[in-house]
Amino acid sequence: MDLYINATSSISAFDSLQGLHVENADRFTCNEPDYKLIIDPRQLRRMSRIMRMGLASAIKTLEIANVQTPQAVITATGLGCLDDTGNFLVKMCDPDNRMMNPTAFIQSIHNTMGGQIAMHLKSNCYNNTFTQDLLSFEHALLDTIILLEEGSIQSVLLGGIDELTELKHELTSRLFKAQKESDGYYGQGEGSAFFSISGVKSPVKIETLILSQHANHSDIRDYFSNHFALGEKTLVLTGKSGGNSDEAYKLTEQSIGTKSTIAYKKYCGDYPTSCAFATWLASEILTQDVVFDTISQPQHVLIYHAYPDRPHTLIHLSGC
Amino acid sequence: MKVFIAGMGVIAAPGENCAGNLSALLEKRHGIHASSSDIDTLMGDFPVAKIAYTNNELAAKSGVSPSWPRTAMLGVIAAQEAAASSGLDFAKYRTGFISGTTVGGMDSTENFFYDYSKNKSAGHISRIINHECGKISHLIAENIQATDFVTTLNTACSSAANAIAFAARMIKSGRLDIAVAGGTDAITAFTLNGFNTLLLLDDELNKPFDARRKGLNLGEGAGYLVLVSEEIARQNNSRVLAELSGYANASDSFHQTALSDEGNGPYLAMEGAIKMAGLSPNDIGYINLHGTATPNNDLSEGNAILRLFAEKIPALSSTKSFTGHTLGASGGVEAVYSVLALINQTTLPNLRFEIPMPGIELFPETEARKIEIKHVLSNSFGFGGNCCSLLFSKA
Repeated sequence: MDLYINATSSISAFDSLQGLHVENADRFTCNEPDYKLIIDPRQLRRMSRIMRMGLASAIKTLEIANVQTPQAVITATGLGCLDDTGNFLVKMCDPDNRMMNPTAFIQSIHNTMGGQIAMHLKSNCYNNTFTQDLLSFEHALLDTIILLEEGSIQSVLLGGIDELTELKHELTSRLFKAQKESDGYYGQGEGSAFFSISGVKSPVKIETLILSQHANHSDIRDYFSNHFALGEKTLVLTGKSGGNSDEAYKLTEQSIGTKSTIAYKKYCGDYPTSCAFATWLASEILTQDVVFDTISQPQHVLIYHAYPDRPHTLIHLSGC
Repeated sequence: MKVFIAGMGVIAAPGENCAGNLSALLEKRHGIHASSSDIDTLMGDFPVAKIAYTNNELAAKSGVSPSWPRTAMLGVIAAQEAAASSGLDFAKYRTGFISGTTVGGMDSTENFFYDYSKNKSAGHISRIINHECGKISHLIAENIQATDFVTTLNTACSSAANAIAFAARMIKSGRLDIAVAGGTDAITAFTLNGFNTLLLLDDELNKPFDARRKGLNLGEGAGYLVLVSEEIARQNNSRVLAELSGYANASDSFHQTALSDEGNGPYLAMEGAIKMAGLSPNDIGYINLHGTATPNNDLSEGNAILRLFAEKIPALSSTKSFTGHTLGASGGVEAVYSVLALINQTTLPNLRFEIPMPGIELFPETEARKIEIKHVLSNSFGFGGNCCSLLFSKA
């Protein structure tokens, strides 16, 4: 079955294709929109930052797709609602000042965004939340593909969301120090990107999703070789973070060779569902007439992730 | 294409394996203890269904490192039992591990934060490296060698049920041959305090579906099924315990922490699972209720059942009266209980039920009763209005 990205919207540290400005940074914090223009201010007051980011990009995506109610809402988050989790934990662990707030607990659960989106849409739709650390978004995309292939529903709203908090930044920095993370590490990031996906023909087609089941990743290496042999204009987006874990890319580097490659995390920072940002970026590159990082108008974008001790993943999108 | 259950494993407060849980259920021995002071010294007054083993004891039992989060240790014990009982050599097939959890490695993270809250440079930072829910699944999958596809769902208290449904879809779509699926959650101070701030804890033993119910008792545990494709069930003489004949997920879409009074999400989930199996509500012999014993859940679930089963109410009970609410694991623990009810052709008791809820004339089973059961429905509903029902049928 042919599947297409009908619309996408993202909130990230990266402004737009025209205004590239992000470089290596200690942290990549989102440029957030004026939420009052997107979400009812009465609702907004009670929402945490990650909920705002998620709901706003979900609403924008559905607006662009002109879909009122998707038949499924599938979200991915590696670490969930960190701000509320952190607040609740810190207060709980301070025996002299246990002013715990139920809202922080309620909103700490990973499916808060998925549930809020369904409530906003007043929909009884299928709703699922994947949290497989660095692969969460790919797995949510897999569920999307299976659901649409099954044929009982025709449109899915898919999103990947993670937030960077002070506490996460502090503790991850401490962990990296202990693990002697490389100085080249781009920096920690965050973001929210949503997609409306269906079989309705659109300019961005989902060609394939590969979750490697082979220790030597031969399936992905073969896919690269076969694809590059076609000689089409292809851009490769890799999830390299500039840090020690980039070692994992070595196995497949030969297969990519000298093809145009961008380490996309230098624009959004490193976070578990950054693949959602990469998918948004790829969709924008395929549909907008811009020269991005010296490559103009590729016909194909391959989004490739190689994390240590995890299956490698490949998403192939094409413009049509 | 059908999906069958070839093995299963469970650990919860009433017992540490399938046999132990079954005898506890039949003999009405619950696992809820009077005090929660060993979880949080300032929260000593709530009954909790904590498994009697310390982390070191769990590590010794399962052969894993005592540095694992408790959630992973409980999970690996149930997953090891499930894998062994299936008699299947996972390495021969495309075998995945699909798990639900809500707290992940929170128990270990809390230990870090107790030190960190006194001094920002204190605490062993290595204690937070398994915080993520996905890390728990990764640890367990490696241990039982079910690594061809590993993922985690966190949809609050319906996590494990959604994991089982997703695993079935992975098999039906030809992406896996075998999937070990279910969920695991340990009791943590985080969830105990969290449910307390929401005033959802009962300070006495819980009373699911009873008019006097005041709230839930927190529990912990893990439950996994070994799901196999039709082909594997047929060949290899692999053991077939039951068929997973239906499942459905629906959003209640009413409130972040409460279900609608009329139970729209629960109704749609139950109806969807029954429809998928090509059955009618009259075919259901027993319902393992979500039945948390909170005023809201039982009202909503009860109303949905009265509407869907208007002609004939099946036997029903909440086994949370034995296990407490095991949160993200509950769908896995109760999937195992549902299959046990089916295999043994018995209802499971709902302890402490005496008075039906006003206006909801439902009478849960108070004894284990031998009856003919062809189909068992298992309900799981979570925060965010996430509702999932699973349907198990005699193979």
